[in-house]
Amino acid sequence: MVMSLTEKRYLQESLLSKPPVRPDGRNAEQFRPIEIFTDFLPTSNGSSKIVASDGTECVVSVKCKVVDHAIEKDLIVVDVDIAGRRDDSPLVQEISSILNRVLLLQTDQEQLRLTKKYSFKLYIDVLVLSSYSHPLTLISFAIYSALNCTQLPTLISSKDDLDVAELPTFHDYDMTELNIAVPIMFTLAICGQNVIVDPASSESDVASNGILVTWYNDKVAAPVRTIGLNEEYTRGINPQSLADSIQLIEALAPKVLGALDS
Amino acid sequence: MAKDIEISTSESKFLIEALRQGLRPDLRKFEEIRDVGITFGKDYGDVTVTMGKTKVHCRISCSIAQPYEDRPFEGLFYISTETSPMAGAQFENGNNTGEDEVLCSRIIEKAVRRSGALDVEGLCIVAGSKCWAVRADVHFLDCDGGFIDVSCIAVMCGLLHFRKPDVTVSGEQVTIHPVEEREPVPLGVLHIPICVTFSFFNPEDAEENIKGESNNEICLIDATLKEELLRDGTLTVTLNKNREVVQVSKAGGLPMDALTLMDCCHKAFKITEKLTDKITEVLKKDIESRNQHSAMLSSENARVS
Amino acid sequence: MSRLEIYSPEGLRVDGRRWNELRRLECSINTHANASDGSSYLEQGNNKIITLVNGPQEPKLRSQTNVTKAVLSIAVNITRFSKTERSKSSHRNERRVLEMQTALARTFEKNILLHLYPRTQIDIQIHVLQQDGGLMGSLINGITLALIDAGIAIYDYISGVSIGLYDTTPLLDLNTVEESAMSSVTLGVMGRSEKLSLLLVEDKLPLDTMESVLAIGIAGSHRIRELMDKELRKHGEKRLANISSNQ
Repeated sequence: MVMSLTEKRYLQESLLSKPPVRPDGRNAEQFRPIEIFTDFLPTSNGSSKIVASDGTECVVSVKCKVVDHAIEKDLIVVDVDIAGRRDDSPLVQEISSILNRVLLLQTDQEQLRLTKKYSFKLYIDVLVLSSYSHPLTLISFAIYSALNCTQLPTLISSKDDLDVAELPTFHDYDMTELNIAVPIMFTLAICGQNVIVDPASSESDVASNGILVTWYNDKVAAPVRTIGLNEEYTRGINPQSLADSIQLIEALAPKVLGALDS
Repeated sequence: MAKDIEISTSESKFLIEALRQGLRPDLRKFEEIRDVGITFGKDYGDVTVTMGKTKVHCRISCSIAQPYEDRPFEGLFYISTETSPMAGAQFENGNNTGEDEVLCSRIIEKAVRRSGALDVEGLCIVAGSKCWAVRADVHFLDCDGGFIDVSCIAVMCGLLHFRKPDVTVSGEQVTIHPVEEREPVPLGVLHIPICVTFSFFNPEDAEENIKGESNNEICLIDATLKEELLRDGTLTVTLNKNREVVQVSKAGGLPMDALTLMDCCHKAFKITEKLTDKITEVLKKDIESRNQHSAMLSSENARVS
Repeated sequence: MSRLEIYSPEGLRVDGRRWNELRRLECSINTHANASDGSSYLEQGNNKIITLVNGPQEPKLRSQTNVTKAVLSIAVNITRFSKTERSKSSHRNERRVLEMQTALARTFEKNILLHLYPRTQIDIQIHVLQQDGGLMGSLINGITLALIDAGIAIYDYISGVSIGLYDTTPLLDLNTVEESAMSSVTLGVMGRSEKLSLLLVEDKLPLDTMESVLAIGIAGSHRIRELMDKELRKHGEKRLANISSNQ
C-alpha cells in the first residue's frame, strides 16, 4: 500500500513514542498470527506452507538426493523464488545468500552423512507467493518446520562402503526422521529508541533500520546484521538498539520455538 | 513484436463482409490453398518454398557431435527458426520470444522433431561417442501468412533432399568420405508431416458463438497476412499420408464445435495427400536432373555397354 | 525395470481406475483472500495448483494500456520441486512454458468479457506445486475457478482434461505414467456445450480414432465442470450463511 507523506509522518511519530503505538495495536514484542501446514507435498521429503495474517505466504519444499560427498561439499542448497521478482533482483539475491550461508555454516552436516562415501544433499526450495513485509522471518520459520518434518529413506546397506562399488540401498518404505538443528531468523524494525518485532509492511516503510538476529541451539548466533527495510528513512543504528534487539530475541525465541514445535 | 501492423477499419469491415458472402480477396475458395512452389538450390538440403507471397528458405547442414549421455544410440537434430525484419515490419531482430514466434517454432518442432520424422538412430556413428548432428535453419524471407505450413514443407523438403557424407567405421576409427570421393547418403525420413492451418472468423457476436446453436463461424484454409490479422482463432493440424494425426494445436481463440474441428482434420488430410504427392514428385524431378548432369560428365557411353 | 501394465485385460489402469474414470478432483476458492482479488487451489489427482488473479487493476506500464479492453497476462510458474525428481532449471522462459502461457491467455481472452474493463490489466499467476500429468487441463480448471472468485465477468466455465489412446481404448484423465506411455489429447471445453476452445494433440494418433477420443474428453470435461460448479455453489452458500448470521 502506498502511504502519503502525512500518513507516514503520523505512523513514524506513533512508533517513536514510548512505548511504541503500532497501527494494528500490537505490543513491541508481539507477532502477528501465522498459520503453518506441514507435509502436504507427497513427492517432497518435507514441505511446509506458512501464511501470515497480511496475506504473505510462503511454501517450502525439501528434497534429498544421494551424492558423493567427496565431490559435493555443500550438502544444503537453498533456492529462493519470490513471485513477481526476477531471480537476479537484490531482494531475492540477498535472501538467498543469507539463507545459504546460515544453513551451511550453522547446521551440523554430519547428520546428513549416510555412509563413508555418500551423503544426502538437501535441496530446499522456497517459493514466496506473495509478500508485503520483508519475508525473511516467515521463510526461516517455514524452513524450520519443513526440515523438522522431513523424512529421509532408511539405509539398509552397510555404512562402511569404501570398498563397495555400489550405491547405497534403502528400505522400500521405511523412513527416518531427519534430526537436525535448524537456525531461525528474526527481523526487527528499529524506530528511534524502540525495537519492534515482525514489522508489518507499513511499519517497515517508516522504520529507521532493520536488524536480523539469528537464533540457533538456544542462543543468539551469527549473523546478526542490519537489513534494509526501506530506502527513504534508513539511518545508522545506535549500538544500544542492537543490544536491545538481542535481549528481546533472547526472551522471545524460546516461546516462538515452542509454538513452532507444538 | 516490434510494432504490430494494423489494418484499417474500412478494410477490415470489407474483408469480413466479403467472407460473410463467401468471398476471399484473392478469389480463392474457403478450402483452397495457395500454390506451393518448391525450388532446390545447388547444394543438397538447400530449399526455398513459396506459397503465394510467403517465402521461406531452409538449409540443412550436418556435423559430427557427441550424442546425449542418456541416448547413446541417437543422433542430434535441431530446428532453428529465425525471424527478422526482412519478413515484415512486425518482426523484431533477434527476438524470438514473441507469442507468434514461439507458437510457430514449437509447432514445427512438434510436427517434425517430436513426431520422429527424421530417423535419429540412423545418425549414430559410434554409440555413445560420435553421431551426426543435423541442423535445419529456417529463415523467413517474406511474410504473407501461413508461416507454419510453409516452414514445415521447407524443413521436410530439405531433409528429403539433403545428403550427408558417407562414413566408414572400423573399430574406433571413423573415416568421413568427402562428397567428391563417395556418393553422399540420404537421411532416413520416416514420414512426411504436413501442416495445414485453419483460420476461424466469427461473423456474429461472442454471445452467439458461445451460447448460440447456429455454428455460423467461418473457417478458412491457408489465410493470407490480412486474414491472419483479423482472425479470431486458429487451428493447425499436422497429418501424414498414413492417416496419422501428428500434432494438433488449437491454442485458445474462438471456441469451435468439436464436429467442425473433426471436419477440418478430414479436409486437412486431403490437402496432406496432395502436398505429399507434390513433394515426392518435385524431389524425383530434382534427382533426375542431377543424374542427368552426372551422366554427361561420366565416361560411360552407349557403346561400352 | 519390468514393464508396467498400463491397461490390464480386466480393464484396470495403473492407479486402479477404469478407462472412463476421472482422478480425484478437489478444489476450493478464495484460498488467498489477502494476497489477491481471486484465488483457487486445485488438486486434480496429484496435480496441486495455486492460481491467483489480480485485477482488473491499473496497468503497471502505461504502454500496455488498451483503451477498448482489458489486457490479460498469464504467468505460469512450474516450481523446481513439482516432479519427483527435482529439476535443475527453473522452467522460466522455457519455450514449453511460454507456449503454455500463450495458449492459456488466448483461451481465456475469448472467454472473459474483456471489453467491460477498458484501460485495465488482469494478471493471473499460477504456481504448480506438484504435477502428475494432464497439467494443461488442470491449469485451465484452476484459472476458471480463480476468475470466478475474482468476480470477473466470463461467458462460461472452461474445463480441461487430457485423454490418451492406449491401443484402441481411450483413457480419460491421464497421470504422468500413462502420459509418457501413450499419445494424449488435451481439451478445453466451453461450459456445457461441445465447443472446444483449446485442443492440443502432441503425439501421433490415428485420424479415425480422433472422434471417439474427443467424445470421451468432452464428457469428462462436462463432469469436471459439474464438480467445480458444485464446489462453487457450496462456497457461495457458506458465504451467504456467514453474511446472514452476522446481521
